[in-house]
Amino acid sequence: MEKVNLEAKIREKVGKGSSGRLRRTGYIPAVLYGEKEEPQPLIVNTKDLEKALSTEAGENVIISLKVGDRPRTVIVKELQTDPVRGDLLHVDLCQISLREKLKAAVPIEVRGEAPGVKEGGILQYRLREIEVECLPTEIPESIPVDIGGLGIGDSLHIKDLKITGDIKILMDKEETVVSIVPPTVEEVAPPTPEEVVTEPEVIGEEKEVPPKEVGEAKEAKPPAKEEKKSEKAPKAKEKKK
Amino acid sequence: MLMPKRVKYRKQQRGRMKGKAFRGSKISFGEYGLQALEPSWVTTRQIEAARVALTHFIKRGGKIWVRIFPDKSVTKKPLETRMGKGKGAPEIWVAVVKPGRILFELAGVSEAIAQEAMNRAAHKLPIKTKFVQRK
Repeated sequence: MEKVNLEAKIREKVGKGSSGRLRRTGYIPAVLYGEKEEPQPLIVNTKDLEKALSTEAGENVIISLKVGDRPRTVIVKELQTDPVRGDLLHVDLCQISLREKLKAAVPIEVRGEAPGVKEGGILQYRLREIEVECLPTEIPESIPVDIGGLGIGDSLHIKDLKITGDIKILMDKEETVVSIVPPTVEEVAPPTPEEVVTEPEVIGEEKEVPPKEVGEAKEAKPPAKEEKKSEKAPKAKEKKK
Repeated sequence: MLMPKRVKYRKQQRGRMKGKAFRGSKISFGEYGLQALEPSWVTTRQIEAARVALTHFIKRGGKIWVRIFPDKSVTKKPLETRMGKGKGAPEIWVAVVKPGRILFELAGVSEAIAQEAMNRAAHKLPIKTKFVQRK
């Protein structure tokens, strides 16, 4: 696995005000932790980080982080992005040792064409990533999933995956990775839309509430009419006068 | 029409739609999605109309996920009623949508078909949306 270089500066001001100002100038706040060191707030150039994450390893990239004079080996632990714009907001960098095994989520890569898809079925992913434990240098870029023999209704499980090297899968082996499901058929519109509209909701806690409320509602309406009448009545008398 | 089967309280306060939707803002099931860009209440009827437009366009093939659910009741007072005398009766059910929320997801179709289907669904909704794709 390739190693990417990244430079960072120590961040002295913390909080949302200074972080916002940072983001507007092309940098993002970051935090470095791990290897029994105190967490250290950092500043990272957004474009440099985007470039580091754009390799084939994706978020599993090993970064050689230069803070001051000392380079450290880190991985991206968490990445926060803006939900609408997709901009990077914050990154968690975790210091690692290249000799110790770590947990990583590796994306799957579908290979081949399933006969079920040709027949009109839909390839449905149950898992997009598989959690593995291995040395940082042995994290695969992707795990191949061969769907060549899958028909409609068939599925492929974790136990069917072929993984080479000293990589341990941390998930249940019976878990489904992909399956071929039959296509959705357009539903015919319900013939009685009036029934659907008047469908009442069931109230959870007290079963006796709905009839009471219905009763109250019925009782509540007549007084409103009476009020109107009583209000109109004096006016009518005034007119007569 | 979508609505909860059981609720603890019939009537709710209206609330505010401040900020962005951090939850439910990523494509989780399909390949393509329709993302909200504005905050709004989306009613049961609007969700259903958009879903029908989606299924009608893609006809056979493809799978649809509706990522929002109308779990908030909105009350209305009857017409020509004087103010007071308590809160009105629950009239409609809405989903509270904030910017960034993925409303629908699609899989098993080509990008061009997905884009057109989402465009048709977007016309049934009261908010601006954008077509998004899994990275």
